[in-house]
Amino acid sequence: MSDLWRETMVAGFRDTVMQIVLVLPRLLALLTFLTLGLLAAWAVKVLTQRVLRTFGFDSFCDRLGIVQPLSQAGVRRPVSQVVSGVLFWIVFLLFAFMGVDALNLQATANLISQIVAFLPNVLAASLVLLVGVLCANFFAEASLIAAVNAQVEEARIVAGLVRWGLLLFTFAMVLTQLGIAKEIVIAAFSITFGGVVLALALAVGLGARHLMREMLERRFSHHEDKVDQLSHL
Amino acid sequence: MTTVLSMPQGGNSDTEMLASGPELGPPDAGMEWPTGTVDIMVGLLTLNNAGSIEAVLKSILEGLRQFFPDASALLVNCDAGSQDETAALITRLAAGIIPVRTVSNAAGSYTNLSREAGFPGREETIHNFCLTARRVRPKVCLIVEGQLRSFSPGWIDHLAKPVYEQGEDFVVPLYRRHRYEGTLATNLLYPLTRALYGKRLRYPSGGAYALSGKFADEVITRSTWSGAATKYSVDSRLTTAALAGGYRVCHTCLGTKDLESKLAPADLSVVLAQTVGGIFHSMEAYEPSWENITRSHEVPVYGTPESAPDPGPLHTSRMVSGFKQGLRDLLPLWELILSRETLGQIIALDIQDPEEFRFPPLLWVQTVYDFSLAYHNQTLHREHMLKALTPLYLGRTASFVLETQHGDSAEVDRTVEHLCREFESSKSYLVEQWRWRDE
Repeated sequence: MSDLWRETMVAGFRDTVMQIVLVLPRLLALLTFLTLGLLAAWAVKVLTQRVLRTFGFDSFCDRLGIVQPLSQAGVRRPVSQVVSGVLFWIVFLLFAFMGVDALNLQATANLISQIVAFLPNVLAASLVLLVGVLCANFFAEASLIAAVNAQVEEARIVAGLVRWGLLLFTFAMVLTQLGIAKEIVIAAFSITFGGVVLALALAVGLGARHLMREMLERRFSHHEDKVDQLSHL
Repeated sequence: MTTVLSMPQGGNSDTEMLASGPELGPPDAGMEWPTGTVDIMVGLLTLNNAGSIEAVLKSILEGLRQFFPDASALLVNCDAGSQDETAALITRLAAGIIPVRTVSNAAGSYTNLSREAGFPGREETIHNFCLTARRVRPKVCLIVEGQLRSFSPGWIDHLAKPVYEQGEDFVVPLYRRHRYEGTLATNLLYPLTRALYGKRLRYPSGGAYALSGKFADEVITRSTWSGAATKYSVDSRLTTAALAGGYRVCHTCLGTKDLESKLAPADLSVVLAQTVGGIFHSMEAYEPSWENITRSHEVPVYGTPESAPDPGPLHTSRMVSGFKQGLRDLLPLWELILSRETLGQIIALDIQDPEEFRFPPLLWVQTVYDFSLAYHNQTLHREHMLKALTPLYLGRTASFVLETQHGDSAEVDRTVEHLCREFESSKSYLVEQWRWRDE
């Protein structure tokens, strides 16, 4: 009886020690990956920031009109800092995923390969987002200037509609690209876009037909020229 | 740009398609350009001008016969794609009187559909004319727009003689205009080019020009017909090329400019972007030519300038409201373009009473110089930036009219002269900032 008890105890102790011995290196590997990740991410962040500052990336983004929407969205840091911060987290997360993979847990099996497989979608979505935001700013600015020069009182509303219309379109494309609730996004976008167009058609056709007629008459009869009475050139 | 030529044999006016390519194609056997033998080459720029072209052509032919009976002449019809047989009409009317060549813009060659003045494709017709001049090497090149109904035989003399007899290179006409015609030219384009290049040459308003063969050749060899320059006004390019190149420029006084225009006038912001943008663009291209110039000199004026009768009271309320709206809606953009001091002074302008509104000349000069610096620095998309100047220009124009409304033409001239001097005296600010931003 006592021998059986002793053997059971020893076997249990041995198995536990064996398991601990097997897990410890993995835990150490995780810690190493996290430490290396922090160091590598920090190095990438500092290097990126210096390179971007050297090439005047912040003023370039300012000219492209990226700073303004970021500021409106509450991001008040220079774009070079934002980019280097994003890169920091990408590098750190890559190392962290490697560490988690090294634990060899069933729940996280193939995590890295899944993430790598999804990366093209993320890159494509980021590109769509960047181009969309740039286009939205460009066309909003163009429409604002055109509306002000045409002395349209609601110039800022026109520019806002252009900006948010394009941003809405962009967000719908980004979500579709990422495969997040694809059907819902398409349906929601179609309903919203169709609704806006219908509302505008009704507003112009019913509510503002007299105003529209006056505007068109003024536009095509060159009434403004009579008012200004000036040949500018 | 593709060029399609039609050339007559000898001195007649037959038509035949010849060549296409970036420059004038080589003539076929038996068909030659009269190289080096032409004294006066008249370029008639047309686009659907069948209704008015007969009178213009008759005036040209009569002018040549009357004032240059011994000079050899060639008529080049640079057509922008007429659909109403304008080119054929010219060929028929001039047959047996003067050799005619027709150079047509190729379909789809327009680089700039929204024109600042004249007609669509005008820029290409002038380009084709200069290419022809390079081939023919005439002493005098006359450019006449086919829609210029008021062209009279005497204008041939007024335009050609300064080049033919006095050795001038670029003749810009002064038309008979009322005191408020061309406010963009008097308040911005003329003072700016004068301060930059040191010559008191009024900004040209199209219609007709005279060029020496040498200058026409120079214009075509410069890179003003490609790249970003093509977005801007061809008149601006010709003017700055002459001024920066040190060519002899002068004015000649013509009568009233009456254009037969079937098209609606171009939008003010488009006109402004193309003309002002042309000068700003030239500032980069000709930087060494203008940086060290501190004073301006008169240019010869042939004839006596005349003023047209006063147009009567002008309404400025719409201009002031345009300025007000710009101040309300475009302020974030102006903050990027204008210096803090300039913007502060603009915001402080009193816009409560439209009749008492004033935009001081010095503030206007600072505004224009800040825009030119922002253009150079590419602070914003360039076209947006140029168009964002429109409300400020409206404000300055309203102020200009209000300041001078109780005076006469001389009063307007004095105001313009005062503005020009402000542009000249503040040029050091422009040069300093320009160099600082380049470093």
